[in-house]
Amino acid sequence: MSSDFSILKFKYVKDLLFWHGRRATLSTAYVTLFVMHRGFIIAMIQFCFSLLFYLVAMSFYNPFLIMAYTIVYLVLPVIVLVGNTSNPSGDR
Amino acid sequence: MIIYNGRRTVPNRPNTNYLNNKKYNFLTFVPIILINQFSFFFNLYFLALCLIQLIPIFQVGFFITYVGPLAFVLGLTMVKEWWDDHKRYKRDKKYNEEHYMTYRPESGLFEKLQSQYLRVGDIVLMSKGQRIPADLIILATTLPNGDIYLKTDQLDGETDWKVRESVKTIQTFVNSGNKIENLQFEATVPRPTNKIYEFRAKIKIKGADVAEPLRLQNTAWASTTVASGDFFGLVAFVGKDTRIQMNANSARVKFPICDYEINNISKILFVICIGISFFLTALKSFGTHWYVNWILFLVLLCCIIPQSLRTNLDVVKLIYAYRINRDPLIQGTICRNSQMTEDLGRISFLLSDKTGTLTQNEMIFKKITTGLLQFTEEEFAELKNTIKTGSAIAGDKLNKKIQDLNMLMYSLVLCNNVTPCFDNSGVRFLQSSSPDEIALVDFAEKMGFFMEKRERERMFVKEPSTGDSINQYTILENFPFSSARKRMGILLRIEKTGKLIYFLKGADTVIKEKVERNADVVVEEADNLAKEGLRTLAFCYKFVEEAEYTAWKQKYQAVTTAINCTEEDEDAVVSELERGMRFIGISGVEDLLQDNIRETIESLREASIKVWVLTGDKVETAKCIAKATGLKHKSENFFEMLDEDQFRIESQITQLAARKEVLVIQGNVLAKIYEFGLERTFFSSVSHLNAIMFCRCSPTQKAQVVKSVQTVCSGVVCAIGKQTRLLTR
Repeated sequence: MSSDFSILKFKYVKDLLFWHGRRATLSTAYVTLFVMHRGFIIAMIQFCFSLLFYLVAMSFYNPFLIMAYTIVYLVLPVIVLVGNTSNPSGDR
Repeated sequence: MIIYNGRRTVPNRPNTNYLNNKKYNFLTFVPIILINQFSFFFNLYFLALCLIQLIPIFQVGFFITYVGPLAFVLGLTMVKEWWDDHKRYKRDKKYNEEHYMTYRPESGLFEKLQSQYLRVGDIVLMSKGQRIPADLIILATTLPNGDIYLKTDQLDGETDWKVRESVKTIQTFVNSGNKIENLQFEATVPRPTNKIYEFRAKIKIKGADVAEPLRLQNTAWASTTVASGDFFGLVAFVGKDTRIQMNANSARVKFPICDYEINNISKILFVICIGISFFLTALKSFGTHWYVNWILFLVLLCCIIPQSLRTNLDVVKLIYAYRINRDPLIQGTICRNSQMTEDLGRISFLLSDKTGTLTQNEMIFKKITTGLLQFTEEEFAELKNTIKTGSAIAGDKLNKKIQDLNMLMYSLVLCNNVTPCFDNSGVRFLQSSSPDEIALVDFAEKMGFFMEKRERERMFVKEPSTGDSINQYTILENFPFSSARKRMGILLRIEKTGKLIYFLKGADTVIKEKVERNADVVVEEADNLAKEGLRTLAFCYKFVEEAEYTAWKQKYQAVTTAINCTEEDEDAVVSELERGMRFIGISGVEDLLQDNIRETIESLREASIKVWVLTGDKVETAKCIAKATGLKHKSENFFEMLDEDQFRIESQITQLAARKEVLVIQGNVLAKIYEFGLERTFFSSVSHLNAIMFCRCSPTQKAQVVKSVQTVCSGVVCAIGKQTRLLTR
């Protein structure tokens, strides 16, 4: 069967679109913005560092820390951003 | 391809029923994944970075700090893909290793054989509850009645049981005590296709002078389940040639609209990155090897491009798919494609089917009319009495009107494909693939026309005129309903009198062609009922002479067993029998709307989501539904496109661009729009309309409309159909 979703009653469309769909879109938007923002901040710090220190092409950050940061420490805020539901299924 | 008994086929087809749905095997796993992943800009950029780091002059920091994240991200994708593939492998293995009783010519017995070793030409004994392993032709059932029921929900999503029959001559062969393995036959089957509802073949057994045609009702497709009845099946298609596998191969990968947007954004970020590093290089003043500095800065500023974004988003989508599956307020919802959850929040167009989606698919019999008499729900008791007293009078003394009413009741109880069944607790219920028919037969039973039993060739009906004795009717010909023919016919011999009678029921536009007189009455009455939102069926009948029937039967047999017999040829011969019929009446059945539809549609309107309904119903029924569901507000009007004239269509399309009404367009006009090539202008001028009713649409037209809206209109398109749901762009 090639459908993306299957529902039992037509009125579930309302819930699906307006609650889950909207929250999914917003969450995706938040996560994307967050990740890009983080990237920019890291890059800007590096930029300022290079600018002020006579344009030396040296990494400001300890390379291993950066690797650990991207892999380990940043999965958690994403899950927190998305996983946090102050109002799981009520008051739609 | 010709199949002979004893597993011989011409041309030779040695392939077995081994299922292999895996996307990768041991060798191709890594290369294919790498190629797929690197087609995305993100990963390509970081791969380029890693490679640049190999050149010592460009090195900034340690090499592993660049390879690490990339390897991590790719590793996660590989694990996910491996897991999916493993699930596919396990499912295949489960199906491949299922045992079926197959006839082995070497030992002369039916032995257990695994599904993966089945070949074309094998004879399999299927029992109740088993999943059908390959496309089978139903040769004979173990019980003499000749029909079985299948559950096709894995194949087409429909939950009602489908009835299938065995081949008549083979059934009589088995019923007279012969063993199926002694049967010598020659079956000619067409090439494998992916069309689930088409099958035209023929089979000739030794000793018979003419071949018997095989149609869809003699087949059992792979991955359906046997609901009731045991039967012997002949394997016709295996493995990749089965209908379900032919349809599975055409699945394409879909990405949500976000993915494309993020890809574009990342390209912009890349340009910004280049710009900033160029700026820094410029400040350093262009000495020798200035490009080295440029690339060094590029490497330093690589964090601008979010490398792990896709992995993070995959996690988000998985969380939402999990939430959708577990939400208690929308029980039973299944998310099959977690990628598309975010597209749900961005839908602009909702294209919906009507029957079964907007309506509950439970039919209630509301009205019946013979053109002269009309009975509504409150008057049904009166109707019953009229029939009872009328049937007490015999023969010609019967009032014409009462006679017509009687014939209408007969046609309700006889002209259908409904079988009375008993479930596990002995309770009687009616089984049919169409809930309309069940409502009609149920009504006939309330009026005193009770269907006692129904076998393949005979029907037993209790009527008010004969008191408690049961009349037998022999079914000579049965032409089931199809969306192309739009009618259903049955030819019976009344055993009591020996006369032949032919009943026909169908859409009023089709029946009006077949009747001798009162053609306009047919349409008028049907329209009256449709204005109340009822689904209408017109009935007609005629008595057939024996000589006429034998002559027609010869012609029919000749046409159906011809090699290049098409559906049109068959239809032409059947239409010859359907001339000069007598109109009896119209039935009106109500299909209740699903609960809370008005609120749902209103919320959708407020969210500026355009709801377009595609239905096979008449224009009047569709208009009624539009009012009832809230698609049309009290203040809005209908704008109808019913004319097939090209200039009129074009002028109406240009008018529509400026108007804000509910459009009602008929299927034949839509066909003309496609014929004239006007679909782009049409859809672009109607894309601002909140509600459109496409009436009298055939299933192919519905698919056409969905495709056109996808290509012409901007915005995410969502299509809803019978108990399933699609999301497209």
